[in-house]
Amino acid sequence: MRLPSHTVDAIGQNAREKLAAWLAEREIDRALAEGEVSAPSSGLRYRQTIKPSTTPREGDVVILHPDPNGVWSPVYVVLLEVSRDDGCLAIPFSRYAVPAVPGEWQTSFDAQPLRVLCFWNRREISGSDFISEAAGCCDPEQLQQIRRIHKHVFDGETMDQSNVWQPGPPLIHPADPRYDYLDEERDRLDVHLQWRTPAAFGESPENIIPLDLHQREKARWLMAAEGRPDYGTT
Amino acid sequence: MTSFGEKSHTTTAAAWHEWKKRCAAGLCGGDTQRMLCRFGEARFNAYIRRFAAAAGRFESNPLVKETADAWHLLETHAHTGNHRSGKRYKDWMFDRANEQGGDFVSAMEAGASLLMRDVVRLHLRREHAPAFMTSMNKPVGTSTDEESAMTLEDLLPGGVRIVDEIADREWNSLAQHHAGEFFARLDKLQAMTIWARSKGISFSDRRLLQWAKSNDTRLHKIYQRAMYDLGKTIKAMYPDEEPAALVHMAVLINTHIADAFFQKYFVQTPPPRSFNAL
Repeated sequence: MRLPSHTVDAIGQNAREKLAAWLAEREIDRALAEGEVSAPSSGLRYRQTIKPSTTPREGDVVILHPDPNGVWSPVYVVLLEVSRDDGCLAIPFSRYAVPAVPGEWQTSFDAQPLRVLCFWNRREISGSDFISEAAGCCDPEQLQQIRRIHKHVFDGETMDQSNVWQPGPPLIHPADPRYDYLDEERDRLDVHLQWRTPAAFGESPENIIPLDLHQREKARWLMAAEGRPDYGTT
Repeated sequence: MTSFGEKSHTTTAAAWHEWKKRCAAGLCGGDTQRMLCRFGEARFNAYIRRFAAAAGRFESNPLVKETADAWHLLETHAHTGNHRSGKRYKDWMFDRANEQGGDFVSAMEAGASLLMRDVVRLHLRREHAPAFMTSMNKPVGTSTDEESAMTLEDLLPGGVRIVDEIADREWNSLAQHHAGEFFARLDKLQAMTIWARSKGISFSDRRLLQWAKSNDTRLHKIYQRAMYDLGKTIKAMYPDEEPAALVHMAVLINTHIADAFFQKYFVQTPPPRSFNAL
């Protein structure tokens, strides 16, 4: 039997090398974390809402308030948008040095904790979710770059191929171990933000990355990850 | 929490407060410097030993020889800039210790351990590249389970481009046919994991675990087994096709299996209340 007509686009060596590097770091990370478990919590945490001592600005890099019983090192996010009612659109940074999927991008930041941005895991947060004094900030060019990539990932706008900032390799195989990583990363952000919405935790739509392939806008990052032709080359 | 079996602290609250005030261990008094450096070395080496035991990757441990290096590595790794803002991770450590309540020094050492784990990961990543990084055909990871043994070539076989709408319909029609056959052989949990994965629902989602009456580790294994079986079935049906085409068919079949699951458990029968919104 033969499958219907099709062509196959070769995967570049660069993509495989990136994936190899990511998998290697993942393997190390899992070995180092073996046996570590979060201490049992008494349930959802409640934090007194404290007005931030400084006003956040777009482009600020901040650290989310820690999960005191958890096994996560600091979660850094960049504030892409800041609104007057204290709402912020935040993009988290990855724990790893290499982007895992096309929704993650290698940055030009020198600092180790800021090497990769996870656009796919963006969150709406408030000033009470993070340590109010910033850990750094983007220069105008970096902020502009982040905005461009954000539009590219979520709105499909084309990007310059010669961009220094580069995305992760495609996500093709249904049993790819990166799916577990994506679940884990989503949980990592959830647990740092759960104190804010105790009634909704576990039922929040944030637990779900919309993957309905009939709603192409929402699933675009995954389509890109799967190397769908209409996404364009990266 | 990290646990290294120590019976007593190797640092003091005063040392941590001094370190925070002075910015770096090298600017602290002699006692504080020694405490932090010894702590750093012990944690670094403990993580290295943990990795060696888990991965069995090397026989000799690449321990940090200079006691001062490990703590300095942590300070270098964790900072995000040259100004005071670049050391905001210290606020995070103190924030974490204060929120946790309980023993302050234990909490500070635990927070520092988490930062040191990142340092060790970076060190190992640079110093020890596993075999699959140089070969497309070596299994990735350390699992000896045949179902988990995929290579780089398996994971990135190439992108399939469908030439026109007619071919697209043929692909989907064929996938739907195969999905029907495969769905009939799946039990509810297997189909549920395929549906969950296709919807982007985490295997640790509380609603899913409640519905499945299971845990995330078991769901993951069930899913991997189902994908392995699906892969073998497709390969047997189309032995002459390229890996990229086989994987593309698997992805399409999964989509149709997810649809069939939705029809059976959400449309034809009342869905679980926690998933009503879907």
